[in-house]
Amino acid sequence: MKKYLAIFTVFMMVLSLCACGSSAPKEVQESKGSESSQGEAAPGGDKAPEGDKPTIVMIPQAIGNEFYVAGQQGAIAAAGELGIDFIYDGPTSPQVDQQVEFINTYIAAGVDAICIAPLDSNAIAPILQEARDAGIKVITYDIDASSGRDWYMTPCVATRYGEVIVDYMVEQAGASDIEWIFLVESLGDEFQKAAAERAVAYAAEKYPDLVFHDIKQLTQSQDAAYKEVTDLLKVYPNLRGVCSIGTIIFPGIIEAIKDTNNVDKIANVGMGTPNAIRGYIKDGSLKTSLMWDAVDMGYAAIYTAYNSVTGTLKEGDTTLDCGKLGTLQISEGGIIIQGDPLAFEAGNIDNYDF
Amino acid sequence: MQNKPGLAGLLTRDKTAIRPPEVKYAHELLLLGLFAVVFVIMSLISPKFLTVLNLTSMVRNFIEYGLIALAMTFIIISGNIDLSVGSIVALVSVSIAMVNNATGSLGAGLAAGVAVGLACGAVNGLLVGYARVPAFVATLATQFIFHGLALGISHAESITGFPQGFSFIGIGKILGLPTQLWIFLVCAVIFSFVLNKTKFGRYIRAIGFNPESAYYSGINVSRVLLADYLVAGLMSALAAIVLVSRVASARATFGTGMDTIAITAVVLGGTSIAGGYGSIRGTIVALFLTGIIKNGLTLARVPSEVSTVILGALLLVSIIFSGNAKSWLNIVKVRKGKQ
Repeated sequence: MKKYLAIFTVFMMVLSLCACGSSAPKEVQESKGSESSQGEAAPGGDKAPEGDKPTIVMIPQAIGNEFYVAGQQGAIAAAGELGIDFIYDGPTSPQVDQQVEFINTYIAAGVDAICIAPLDSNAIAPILQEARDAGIKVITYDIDASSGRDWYMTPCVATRYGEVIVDYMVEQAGASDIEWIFLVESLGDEFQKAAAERAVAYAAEKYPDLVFHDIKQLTQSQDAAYKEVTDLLKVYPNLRGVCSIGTIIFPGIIEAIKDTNNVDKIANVGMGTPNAIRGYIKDGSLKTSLMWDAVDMGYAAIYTAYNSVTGTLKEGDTTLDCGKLGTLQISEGGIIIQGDPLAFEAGNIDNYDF
Repeated sequence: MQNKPGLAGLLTRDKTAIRPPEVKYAHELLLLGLFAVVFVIMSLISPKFLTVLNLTSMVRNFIEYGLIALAMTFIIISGNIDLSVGSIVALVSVSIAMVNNATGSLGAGLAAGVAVGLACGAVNGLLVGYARVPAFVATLATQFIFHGLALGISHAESITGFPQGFSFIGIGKILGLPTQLWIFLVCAVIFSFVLNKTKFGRYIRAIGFNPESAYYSGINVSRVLLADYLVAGLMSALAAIVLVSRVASARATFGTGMDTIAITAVVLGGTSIAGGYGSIRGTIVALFLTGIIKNGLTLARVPSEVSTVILGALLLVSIIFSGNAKSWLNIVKVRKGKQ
């Protein structure tokens, strides 16, 4: 008869897990909605859209990733301001088939909009198209999909990043006639490629005395980047400027410059999250990391989604009113621009945690 | 202790001898009951659960795992394991895409994919069946090798360029049901038949019970195991085809973690991880059970961290109470006997 006891135990366990699972996160989500929200519904109650409150789901590359958690904070703030029924969910590890699975499920759930940071621009496209066919607004953020989305909220335009990074390098070097190189993680990455190419072209226009050596692709690993940069410094002994894009290689570049006692000689600007480069900023081995505010990224993504659902944001619009971020520009192809890249420096780095 | 009547029974087609009769359907019934209960709960907590759209689209989320789980059931019944199936999916995916792009023929791509899948299965089968490398080690090694090959030949990039019609397998429907569900049902019937009605099915169970005595009973253990892994390679290739069709692209990271999910379904389905007994129907029920739990919890807005924990707990509980029901019930019997 223990068999029945076993069956009963399993049932009870699943029951209890389902019960606590279904009500707990709901409270959290609801409390972040507008003040007028009707409060806690009956336990295990209705999840259907409440009145005309739009339901927006945000799917990051992976939940638990610091960077996207910061985006989640911004998104929650925006959802609170706009009175959105907000869901944050996604794969526990960065696997695109899991992302597809979530989108599939949320299409069936009948949400109003999906905000997604795709893990794979191509693999995600068919399911996004399916979501659009089902009348769901699809917004990509951080990373764009190759097709199948309505709007793309980019934290930063690649070409603009290329321009700004050169400006920061020249400013840091205090001279516009130095030798410099551009390092990237992957030339297959459209953002990195476009930014690097624009940086070179822009430098030639604006600072004709700069001596440009090369766009070099480093191995996507901190250790490998460290060795490669150490070698590069031997190849170009008079190098005084290093621009780079790649959050993985950046610490390797910083360490290499530090260990070869080139911190004062070489102006080094690259892309690193505040938490990854905080130590280097504090000990003076790095002056500037050029990136963007991930909190604002989530905030802007939700504003884009909301305005797309309500119809305020239409095809052909050139600007979007984005709450505390002010007015955002929209470029051709339905791309909302969060703004210029943001420099993390000794003065402001402690305001950021991601 | 219980004497092992399995082998003699297997060879004489006396199926009742395979397991103690009192647990013949216990696990499957428990799962089926659990499935019903979970189904009702999910319907109650989420109004979106019991909709045609959800139920049909949900199936697409786990059929690929299911195809692999069918083959994995065979492998685990034979007392082995295959940790490389996810990597085979990756390698087959990029092979299909690259051959498709190189030749301009999807047919050639698919043929190449199946060939690669079979080749991978053959490598595993030779290692386990003939070289006598323990399956865990052999397939752990090939997991890295196949994945490394996939990364190498694709340069870790995403590959696209499939003809429009190809998406029919992954997102199309036949008679209102997803295409891949039909594929899965056909495969499930075949696997069930092979396991229960053919010599091959009896052989893998015999090997799972005791490979030594299977060998001395005249079973060509090496060949059966080779066939077993070939089937796994083939099913991995089929899963890869469905996956690639569904996402219209291929990448070397596809399939990561598929091995563990497939093994989970098999073990949750009551197949003994030590080999010897198990059933396709158990695997199928377990597959759908995990599928509706994941889907239902997502719809009920349970964060995915929590639902993975729930699935893990379910697996543990199920194994503690029932996966080992055989030995467990025997212990109970022994205790009762002593009293």
